Amino acid sequence: MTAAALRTTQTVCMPIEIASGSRWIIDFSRVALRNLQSLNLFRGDDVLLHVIYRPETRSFVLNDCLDGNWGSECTVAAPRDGGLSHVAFELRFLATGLSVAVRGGGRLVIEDRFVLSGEVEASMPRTIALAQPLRAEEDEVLPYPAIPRDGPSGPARDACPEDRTAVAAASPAGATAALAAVQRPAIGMSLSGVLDECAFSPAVGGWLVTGWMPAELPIDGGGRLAAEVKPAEAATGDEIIIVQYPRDDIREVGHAFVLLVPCDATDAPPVPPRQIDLMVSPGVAVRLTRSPGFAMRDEAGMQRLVRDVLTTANRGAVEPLRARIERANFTGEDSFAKLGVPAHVEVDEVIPVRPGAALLFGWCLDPLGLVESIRLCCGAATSAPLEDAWFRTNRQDIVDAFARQYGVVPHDSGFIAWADAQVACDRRLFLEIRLTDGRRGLKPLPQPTRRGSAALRRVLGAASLPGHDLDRIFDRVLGAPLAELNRQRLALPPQPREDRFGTLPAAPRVSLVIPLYGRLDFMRCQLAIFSAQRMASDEIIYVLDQPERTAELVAMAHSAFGSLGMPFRVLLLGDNRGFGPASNAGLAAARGRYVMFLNSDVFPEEADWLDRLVADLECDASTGIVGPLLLFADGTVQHAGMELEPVQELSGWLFPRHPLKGRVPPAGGPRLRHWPAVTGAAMLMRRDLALELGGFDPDFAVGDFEDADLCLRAAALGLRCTVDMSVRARHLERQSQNAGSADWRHNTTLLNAWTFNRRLHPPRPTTAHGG
Amino acid sequence: MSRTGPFPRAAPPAHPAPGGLRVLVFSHLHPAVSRGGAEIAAYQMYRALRAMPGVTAWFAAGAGARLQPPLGTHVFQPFGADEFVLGNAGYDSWLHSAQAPRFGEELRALVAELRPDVVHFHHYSGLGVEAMLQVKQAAPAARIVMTLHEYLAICHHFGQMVTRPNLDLCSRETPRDCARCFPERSENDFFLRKMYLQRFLRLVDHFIAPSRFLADRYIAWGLPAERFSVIENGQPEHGAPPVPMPPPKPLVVGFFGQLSMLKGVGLLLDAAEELRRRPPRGGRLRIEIWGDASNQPPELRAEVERRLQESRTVVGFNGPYENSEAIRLMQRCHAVLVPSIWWENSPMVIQEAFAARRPVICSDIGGMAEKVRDGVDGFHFRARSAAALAELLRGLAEEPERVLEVQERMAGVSGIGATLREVLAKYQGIALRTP
Repeated sequence: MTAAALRTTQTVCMPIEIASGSRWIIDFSRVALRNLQSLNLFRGDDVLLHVIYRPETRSFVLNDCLDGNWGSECTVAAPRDGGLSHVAFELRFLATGLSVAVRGGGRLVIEDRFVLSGEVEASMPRTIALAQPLRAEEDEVLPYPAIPRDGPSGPARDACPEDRTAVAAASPAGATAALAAVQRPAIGMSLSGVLDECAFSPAVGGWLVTGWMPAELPIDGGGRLAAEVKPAEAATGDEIIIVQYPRDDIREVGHAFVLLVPCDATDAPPVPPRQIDLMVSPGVAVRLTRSPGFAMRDEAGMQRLVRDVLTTANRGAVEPLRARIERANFTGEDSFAKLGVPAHVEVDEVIPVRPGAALLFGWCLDPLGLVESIRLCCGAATSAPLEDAWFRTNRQDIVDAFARQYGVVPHDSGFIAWADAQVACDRRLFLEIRLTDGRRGLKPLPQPTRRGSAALRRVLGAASLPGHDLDRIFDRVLGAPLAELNRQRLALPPQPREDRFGTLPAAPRVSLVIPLYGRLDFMRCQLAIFSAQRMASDEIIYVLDQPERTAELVAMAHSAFGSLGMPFRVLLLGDNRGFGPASNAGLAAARGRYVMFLNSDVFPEEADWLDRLVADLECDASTGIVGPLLLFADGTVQHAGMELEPVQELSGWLFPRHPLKGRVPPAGGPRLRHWPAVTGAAMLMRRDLALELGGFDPDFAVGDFEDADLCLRAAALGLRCTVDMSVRARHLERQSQNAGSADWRHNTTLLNAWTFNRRLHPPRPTTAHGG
Repeated sequence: MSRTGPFPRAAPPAHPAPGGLRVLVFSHLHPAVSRGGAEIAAYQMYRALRAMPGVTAWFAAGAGARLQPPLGTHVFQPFGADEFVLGNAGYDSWLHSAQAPRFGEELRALVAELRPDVVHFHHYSGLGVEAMLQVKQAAPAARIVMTLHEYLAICHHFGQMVTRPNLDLCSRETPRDCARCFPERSENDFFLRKMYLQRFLRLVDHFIAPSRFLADRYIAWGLPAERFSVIENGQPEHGAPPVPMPPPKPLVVGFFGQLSMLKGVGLLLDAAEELRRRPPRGGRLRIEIWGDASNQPPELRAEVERRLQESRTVVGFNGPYENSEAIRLMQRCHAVLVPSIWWENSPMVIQEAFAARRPVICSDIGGMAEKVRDGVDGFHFRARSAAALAELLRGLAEEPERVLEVQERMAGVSGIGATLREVLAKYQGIALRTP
């Protein structure tokens, strides 16, 4: 990004004066965190300080851009806990550098850089606040102090009353500023007003508060204002919405208002607001306090009053508040249908991802362009328009059904949308459809019928995804909700039951961890092969990842042990978890010095195969993971190491590739070959290394990429991945994977590819070199 | 849950006295309930071993479907003290694997109890290939000898090495070709089957093949050539005096055995049809059939009956016969016909024809061509060709003296005594394999 691009029409620019040793408070609101907005201090075209939140590492990044060149990044950790609520931190400009302290997060002192003093231009969106503390000793962050936008001076000069008057005169509210009592001896200036009545309405989404103030505020139709509410637990977030309306009894002295103070108090009884500081615009703050006659009202009465008020209200969020109250009182009736417009919006299936957020499968046909937006609603809360986070799918059935009625019907009228109303409530979900003529309709949604694995599979099997658009589809629509569904699926610990067969070694050399899914009969064949090999000091752990076949597997295990007399362990998982998590369950139960992750369809050829792989690790401490040469049944190469290669037709993402696959194995060449990764079908490592790495990352669903990911994480510790070409095993890898029969399997691979590529593993060489 | 416990193991024989040989013979079925060639050969060997001084022998057979063990056990003795039957419920005839969890334990206990020096398998079907491992676990010092009877390990199509469903000849397995015969199985499945079977067959210390042809098939499949001997199964001495050839008017050719497609019954009837249309000039020919189609599918039985009726001027049908009658019935003929359309191994009917001293007319492939030398012990015709068979039979009917000449110089039968001497010599010289 160029430095100039940091100045946009969305940002507020103002000069500020920085004194050496001065402390500043920066507050990133939830919106700023989520949208990756930044604070920038400019002098000329140089960015002296650039601060941005980086969600993937949960840290703030500080940087500068001098003469068009970005410097190296300094990072400081953000608070680990909680969701995306606002984060405040303190900067102290020192004579020799900069000190940063994130509240609840990390601290950092940067020497010989960011040495700032004098006047700079601060540029930031309204969602980021920059202020100096009121009193030097006060540790509390003031999120929204007023900073003059047009005033002649910076904050250091705000203590002067003349300047304040000048600022007030220049502000939109200047005409009534004389009525206001200046509440704060701080930067900027403030008005005051009173709160009269208050009611809590969880359906509308918070406190409905009436009151009045001496000024008519410069608010637009959105009516949203940054606010600081006291006590803090009375509000969620840092914005209120406001409507102003004429009230006869105060016509001479001020303007009445209704506020909605968002509050999603669900657990504890809500605490009503006592004081609200509104940041009206840069330079104007309004402090609202309870009037002597302040009273609590019942919710229904307050809603009635607000509805009445909205008929005469003329400023602020009139329509938004009206819409909120309508949504809060949604009865399940399809009021969109009642509008009778020739536009169709239908949702066939809802996959709930978390309260207030869902994936929607549906179709939309709007031949006349009448629909302005479609939003998911949960109570009064709404999502962004669905089209911001959807992709279209082909719906021939819609073409067939409407071709006669409308002539030309687009083939891609279907959609899959990720919609998040950003409210943690369990209320039913519905749609709000806004038309370009200003009318609105609400539409009920079908009851969700799938969760967990079924939901994951439904989403992944829903459509064939266009390879050129994968970045957008996964970044904006599918990636985050699928990751969340997968985590929910795995949220409960596996708690496997264990059966042991035979006498196991007391202190095993290697624990072989072998998940079973589908072809359970491989277990007997593999044990038959192992029983002819030198594995008396190793323990074999089968992990059944298919709970519905537990009785069958236990019977097979008794039968195999009866036939072969080969000792082994069986872990029986309570739910189907996928290759990585099932292997991790085996790892947790393993006792060996080494752990060998193995597929059940891998059959080593020589009796001393495991001795030789162990020796490879023991001989070379720089090798972290070693695997054998894997051959197909016909003797050609299945795996001789993995490299990562961008696949252009799949958005250029990196995919693991098996060099030599399908070829006759090379006759000569080095015995040990080093690669960026080796396959998880057969990989040996020290058990303490596997534990240090945390096993396979469970974010990789079903079974793809987790092996490459583990290898890259081992490489990050400076350990190599090696294939011993002299150790051979047959791998009867499933042949049907390329058949493209099931979208869901392919899409699961794409999901894993997205997860893998977004991990931003450092690039590494992709060619093998002998060792 | 946990199952542990050491295997019962045989104590080493206290004094392996000269001639104090202990032999356990395994068969897939007991001849009391099934009369196939393999079980008869196994039982003959057991009986002959028992009869030898200084040899202790036991016979252990799979139960198959006709015998049921008492509830809760696998090993039982319906046929006397030295004969055992092993029930094996749930037997997997794909991998030839015993599934019953306690089967291995009981087999190991039996072997440990009998303390054999040699365990001679005449088959593993019905027992499970794991039995080889179980024997080694229970009696590590015992030698395992195995007589192979058909191509079962190589070919899932009943070990016949003919394709499915067309019954074309197949000369070697590959996972790809096998999966074509069994589309319900994958190439990988066949790879796995072979790997599984070979893992256990490797425990066999010595293989005995009744024909060179069969030995070569198994060696090409992957078993070690140095562990193979070719030894004929051997016929018990029947003691009957030789019966001279009846006058060849007409020339009588006999067919003995199951009227199945693989035994060449279709080919025989095609040739008969051909001979009916164009009979021999200057000679007469009869084909006499002993045997039945009772085990065959109903459609085939109906077809055979219809065609027998059509060809009755050439073919006579005499119904089933007892094994003990075979030689006497053969001696009513001038030659014995073996028109099998599969390879065969060492068909008992050829050995019986040799014992009866009757020339054999057979397909020119596999074990048949090996056992019967063309023009010496009988006559070959191009396998699977009804025209070639009809042509050969027509020529022999026209010149019956050819048959009589061959009869005078054909080979004698190899008796069970000679077989046993060779087998015992093998028992002595076998190197022991570790499991």
